[in-house]
Amino acid sequence: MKKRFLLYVLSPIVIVLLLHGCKKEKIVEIEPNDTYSQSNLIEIGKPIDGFINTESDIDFYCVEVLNPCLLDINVSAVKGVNSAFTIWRENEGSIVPLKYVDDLRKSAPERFRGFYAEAGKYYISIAHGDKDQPVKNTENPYTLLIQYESAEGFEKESDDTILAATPIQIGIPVRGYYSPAFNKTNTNAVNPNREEDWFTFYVEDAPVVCDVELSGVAGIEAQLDIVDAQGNVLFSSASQGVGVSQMAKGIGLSVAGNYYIMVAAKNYNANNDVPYSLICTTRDYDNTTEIEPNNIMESATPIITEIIYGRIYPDNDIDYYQYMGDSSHDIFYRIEIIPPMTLDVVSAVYTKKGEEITSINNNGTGDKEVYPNVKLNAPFYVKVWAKRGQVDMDNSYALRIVPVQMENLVDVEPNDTKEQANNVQGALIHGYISKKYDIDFYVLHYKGRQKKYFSIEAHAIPISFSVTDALGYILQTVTVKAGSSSTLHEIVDMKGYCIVKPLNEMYDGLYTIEIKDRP
Amino acid sequence: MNKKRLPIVFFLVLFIASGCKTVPTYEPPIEPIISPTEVNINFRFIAYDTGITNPDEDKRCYYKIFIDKIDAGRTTIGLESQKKYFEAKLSSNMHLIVVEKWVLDEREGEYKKVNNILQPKPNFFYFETKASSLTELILINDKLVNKAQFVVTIQ
Repeated sequence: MKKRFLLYVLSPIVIVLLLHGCKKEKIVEIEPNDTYSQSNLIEIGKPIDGFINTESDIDFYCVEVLNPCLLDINVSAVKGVNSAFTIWRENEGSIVPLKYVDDLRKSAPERFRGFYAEAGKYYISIAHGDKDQPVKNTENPYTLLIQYESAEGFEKESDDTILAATPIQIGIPVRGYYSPAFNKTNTNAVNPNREEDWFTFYVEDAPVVCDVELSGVAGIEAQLDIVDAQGNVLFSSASQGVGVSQMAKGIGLSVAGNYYIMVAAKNYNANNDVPYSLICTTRDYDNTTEIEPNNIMESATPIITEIIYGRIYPDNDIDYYQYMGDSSHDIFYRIEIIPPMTLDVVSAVYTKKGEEITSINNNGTGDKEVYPNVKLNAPFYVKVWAKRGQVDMDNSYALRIVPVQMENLVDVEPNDTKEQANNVQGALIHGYISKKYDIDFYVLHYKGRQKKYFSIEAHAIPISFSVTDALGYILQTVTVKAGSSSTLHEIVDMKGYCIVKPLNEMYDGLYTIEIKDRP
Repeated sequence: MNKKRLPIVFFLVLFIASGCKTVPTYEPPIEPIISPTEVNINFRFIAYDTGITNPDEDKRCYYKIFIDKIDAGRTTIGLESQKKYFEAKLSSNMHLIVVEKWVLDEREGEYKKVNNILQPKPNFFYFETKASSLTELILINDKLVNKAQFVVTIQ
């Protein structure tokens, strides 16, 4: 009876006590906390409410980090107030600012996820942001909540500059957050206030080729740059769209040393929930691929092998190659560019002095470009690019350059006009229809009047062949079908021209002209 | 004293003036050539037009030559009013020459055969050649009426 009585009496008391214990404890700031020495000590994982009591109110909070970790600092929105916060670290009796977080919006929360904290004391100061007229709000509190996560495999914020870059290992992925949205301390004129994450890696054995992959993150249009120790931009990604990954492939690292990778979000966007992943790998250079950057003649990729592969990426990518062949005399070369199905490639050939010899642009998307007879003295340069707006990150084009060994090949382009006519010394002319609607002029010089018998053979493309007077006016024309030959005879009054024209838009066709004194 | 210096000054001025002058590049027209390859010729044909009063009507042309109905070549090229030459070594015999006038179409950049009604008439002539002497045949075509006159001389 006595036991039952105790049960009835004590049960409500126990229930009330239990309920009281389960209720969340609401922690509120204790003013004055306007300086770091007056700061409120808070615990990680426990929210605290505070007020922007006056227009100039600053609330300092102190948090003690025992082990290295990533902090996720979240300040909830306050109606009508553009709040901002600064992270400070204690350093020899004073504090130094590490990061200022302000998204420049009213009534919006501020969050910074991924701040790397070593063991020690950190301070968070919450105040009105810079953008709007400071206002107080004594009715609606903000809530500051700091949480932590493992820093393993993450960038080390603040790594906002090249000097504070997070070291990474080649082949080991690193993660980071596009957080916060703004970095007020970034005063770069081109991208002011952009939040940037810098990474650095060391290359010991050069030259190597590196590939960098940056995963896509929802809501973020990523920017990926690769920079050498001198600050030269080796790669700068082009716009790929929101949520899409970025890739830098085949970036040539010619000297040993530190290299840097910059990751940023375009348009001041942030994603505090999903981290990006960045991985940098290197491989030995085997002379079969381009070395980016090779966008200018001075950084052209040397061609050692017969075929070299390159990619048109990012948008407006230009690839220069330097052919290092026999430099003792001019040689004919056959140049071929075999594109992937996605690209309409264009090419141009330059002398070592940078003078353009010819451009190669006969075909459309996915079709091979050929120039069968460029006569040059090595070294020379070949430029490859694609029609505007075309990129292919995944598929390579192939550039093939081979010397042409052919006796009596006298078709030296450009010889498209009478003034550019090639001088004929012997009795045999080998020539090519080098491009669409290519016209070849040859000039003949003889002593006195000479009757000549011309035998013309078209190997692959139907052509017309004309002989002119000394002024270049046509005396006779004969057409020659593909795979057949024709003859004509004409008197050359000391000087005359031969003109070869294709009869259709085909090109890369060999023809032969034999000039004889007798039939 | 002044009279002595005058020629020096004159030549100096002339020298400076000639030095300053821009010499245009000029490609001389091809002169009618007596072919050195045909050394032992015994036939020469010369043709020119008369009755041309307007230089615009005096076109570059040549005559295609058929001897004994075989294409033997063509004359040199020149203005219609200029003499155009053709030479050959022919057997000692009577021969038939037929000529065909071709005129430059400057717009097209090529020589085109003159319409039959504008060809010289007659466009043929019979002549005799000998091994040891030169037969010279001159065609004088009155372009106004397309009437041809053949003059033959044996030297």
